Amino acid sequence: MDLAQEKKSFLSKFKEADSQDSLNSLKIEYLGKKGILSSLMSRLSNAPAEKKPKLGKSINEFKSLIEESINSSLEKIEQSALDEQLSKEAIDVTLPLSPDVGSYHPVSLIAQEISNYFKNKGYVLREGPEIESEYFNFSALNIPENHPARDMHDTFYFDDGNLLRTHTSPVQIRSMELESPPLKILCPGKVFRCDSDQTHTPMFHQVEGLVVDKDINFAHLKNEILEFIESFFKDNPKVRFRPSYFPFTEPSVEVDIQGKNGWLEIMGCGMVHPNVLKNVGLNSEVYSGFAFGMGIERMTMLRYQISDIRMLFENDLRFVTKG
Amino acid sequence: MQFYKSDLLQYISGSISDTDLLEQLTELGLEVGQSTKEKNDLLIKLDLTPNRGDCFSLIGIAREVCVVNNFKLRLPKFKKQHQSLDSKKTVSVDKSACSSYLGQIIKLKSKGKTPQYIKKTLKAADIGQVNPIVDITNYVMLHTGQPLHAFDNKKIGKKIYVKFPSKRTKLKLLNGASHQITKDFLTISDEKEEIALAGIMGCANSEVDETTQEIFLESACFEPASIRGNARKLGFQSEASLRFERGVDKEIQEYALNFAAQLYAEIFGGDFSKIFKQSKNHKAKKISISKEFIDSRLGTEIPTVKVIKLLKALEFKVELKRNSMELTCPSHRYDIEIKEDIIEEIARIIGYDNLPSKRLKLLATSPEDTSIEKEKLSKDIFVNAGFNEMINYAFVDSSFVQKLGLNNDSIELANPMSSNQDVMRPSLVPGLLSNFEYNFNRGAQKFKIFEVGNVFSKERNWKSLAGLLYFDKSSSDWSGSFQSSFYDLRKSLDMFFSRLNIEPVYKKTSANHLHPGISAEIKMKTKSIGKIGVLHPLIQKKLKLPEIVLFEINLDSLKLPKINAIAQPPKFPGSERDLSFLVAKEIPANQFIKELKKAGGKYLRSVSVIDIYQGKGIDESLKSITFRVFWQATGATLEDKEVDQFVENQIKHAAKILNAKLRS
Repeated sequence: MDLAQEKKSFLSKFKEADSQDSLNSLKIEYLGKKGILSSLMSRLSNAPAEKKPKLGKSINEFKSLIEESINSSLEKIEQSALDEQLSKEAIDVTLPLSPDVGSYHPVSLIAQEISNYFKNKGYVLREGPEIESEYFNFSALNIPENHPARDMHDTFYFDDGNLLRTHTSPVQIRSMELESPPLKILCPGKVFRCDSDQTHTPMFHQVEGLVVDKDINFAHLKNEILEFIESFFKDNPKVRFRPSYFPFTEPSVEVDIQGKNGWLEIMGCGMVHPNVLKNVGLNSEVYSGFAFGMGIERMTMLRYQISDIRMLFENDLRFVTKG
Repeated sequence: MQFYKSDLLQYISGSISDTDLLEQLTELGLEVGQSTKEKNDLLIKLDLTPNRGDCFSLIGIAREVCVVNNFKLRLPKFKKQHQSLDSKKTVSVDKSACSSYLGQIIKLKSKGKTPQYIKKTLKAADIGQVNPIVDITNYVMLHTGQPLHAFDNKKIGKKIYVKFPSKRTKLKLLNGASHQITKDFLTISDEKEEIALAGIMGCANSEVDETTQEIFLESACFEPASIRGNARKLGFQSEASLRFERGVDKEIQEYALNFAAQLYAEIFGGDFSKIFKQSKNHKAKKISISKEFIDSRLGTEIPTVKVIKLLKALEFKVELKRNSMELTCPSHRYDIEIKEDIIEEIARIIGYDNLPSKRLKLLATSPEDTSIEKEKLSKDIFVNAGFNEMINYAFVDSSFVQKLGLNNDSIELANPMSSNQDVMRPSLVPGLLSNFEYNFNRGAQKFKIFEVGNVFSKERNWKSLAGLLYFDKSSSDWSGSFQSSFYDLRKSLDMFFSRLNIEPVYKKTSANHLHPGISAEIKMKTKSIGKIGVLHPLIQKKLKLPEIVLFEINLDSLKLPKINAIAQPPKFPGSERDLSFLVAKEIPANQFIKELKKAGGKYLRSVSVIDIYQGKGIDESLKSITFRVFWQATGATLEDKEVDQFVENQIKHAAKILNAKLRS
């Protein structure tokens, strides 16, 4: 039997084999225990000694050829079978889904932003009760009974004489009663006034800042406010400080920013009134401080260009989830 | 206060453009609420703050404008009228309530007509025309800030008293209304009866009209303290009370009276009596202030010359002492009392915007309120879990609260804005249900909403967290991934507790507003911290609501998670066994798990429920429950024999305590 002929015969059979089964039987036919290769090998021992090395090498080469050809064909067949199976498993990757997208209320978002800003400046967050006494809401803040300043606050009362706080300023008093200066606090929270129209709701949110120490002055207050405005209003608006009146600050300031259609009032502030310091047992000759307060809804409306404050409390899912 | 620029200009020695005037007024603290251009004039409305009573007058506003422009205030002089009328009047005054009282009898010679210029001024101020006599008093008030009152002298007696009444009295006022007044209302009366509520309004019994021939003209200074609050008690404010409450210049009464007298002479022609006058000397307020104080409070250095010039322009008298300035306050500035008021005057006239700003270097040290942190953490967790935050009013409709069967302990508002906001919310549930209704009616089908906020009862209030879950199954999409059963909501809550590193237990409960079979109380040790469940079917029916799942927990009763060391996970593989038991239906899973844990040995890591079955093939009173129990030791691989022993212990224990049988 001529090796070259065997080779030729294998190649023609291999060409015919196009399935896993035919390839496997071809493998057995040639490489099996009783296969063609092993009979070639057994004949090798009868060959003359000087021809043995060359013949042996040729047989080994033939063996490699068989193995490689069959294995590579088998692999190809497996791959295409797998390809076919995977393509059957294909899904429509474009089907629409509706994930549960959580959301903060816009007012929460803005309260959070303002709180974070001041926290990073070293303010400590404080909160106080929403049901307050006349003392903390008014008297301690230098707003005596019957004073016309009380007209600025349309107050909700309870039968026992307590009230819903009309501003977050009572937290100033509570904080100063508990802690001694230096004091640097920020109080966000709900406040209440009997009022309802496009720019007023009976409940809204305020955030109030208070700094008390020795040598706190008007220049500090101005800088604190200017830096905040620069951070909050990205377009760096023109700012105006103008005199105003709050019984618990002296001097009192109203802060405006320049809007498209004129000045927009954004917050009130001032130097803490000596009577307020006196009410919490601080000597106003030694200590001074400033306080500022703003309506969170107002800031929210400016940020998101909302024109009716009542929208914020209708809790329409198509609206309050969009902040 | 509303006026024409032309009226203001009478008092000003210079000219000023409309824009400059409006800007300056606001920068002075006299906020311009509105301004309207009219032919040849400008109508200005000021929103005055309560401290600036002095600017409820044209003279007061002009004074301010003059200061910032270095103009001179031009005050016309009014001579006393020739006092030829010999009439008698005695005036007796409670000087604690009225620092000066001036009156003059004027006999009107002819019928007068209100001149055009007076009509214009009144119209600007939105004060209606009454008759020429009254119109003149209002006109003078708008100019000087001094409210005047004209009585018909024929209708009142010879004696005038300014006093608090000795008993409750019923009065009929000029506006036609009758009022019961108490002893704290200062009145003007004659020998017989009250003829005016001092500083507020006259009485009908002494009213002037077209036929009046002789008037008694009053120009008085009532103390703010004796007027404040009284008009509000009657439910209205008058032009007079508005000014007296804030304080009227103590030295302007005679000026105003002479101003008016001249107008009566011009318009009616008149005979004038002498001026009947009762007054006490008032002491001008004095304030001492140093340059150091001014500079330290403003955070910059202001030259003393500048301060003195500015204060003098504001009509303060300034006397220089060695280390300070002694200031005498002008009588029209009721609001100036302390040094800080002077600081504001200086800052105001220099202009707040012209003062420097300086960075504050101050760090406070105290820790944040944990309640705020907890609120923020709760919001973060629920938003991340796909919930939408709601913010509702803190007051709710008491009848809605009742319908829900929530507590009867809610706090009522004394003056609610409407009957559907009459009590403080005892729970966040009413709010969330309203949010549900509002959005459901507008087509929303998927609800995963929550709120954090204070709730109130008569005994106490606390911070609450509540959530609501609902999904309209008919609108399910192809994925079917959104579910809204009791367990779906509980899963969110479990996730929340796990983030807080706490493990409260659920216990079947009955709450008025929840389904008795599908609701649980949430307990930490023995303390109840909240509830979760399906809205009670009867309430669903009553309110036409579908099957909604709700929870509410008391945030105050939870603590922020502690920081723990993180243990290394065990390196050796663990063993897992599935155990099926038959047990009475009523035995809750968590009780069973607790017992399995108790008997499972120290290497037991977890027990989960992998199957629950009730029905065919099992007695009606029983359920089949399959647990997957997992053991793992830290130092070695557990041998089968050991685990077998654990399992055996558990089976015995379950049989003994729970009467549970292992299924083959």
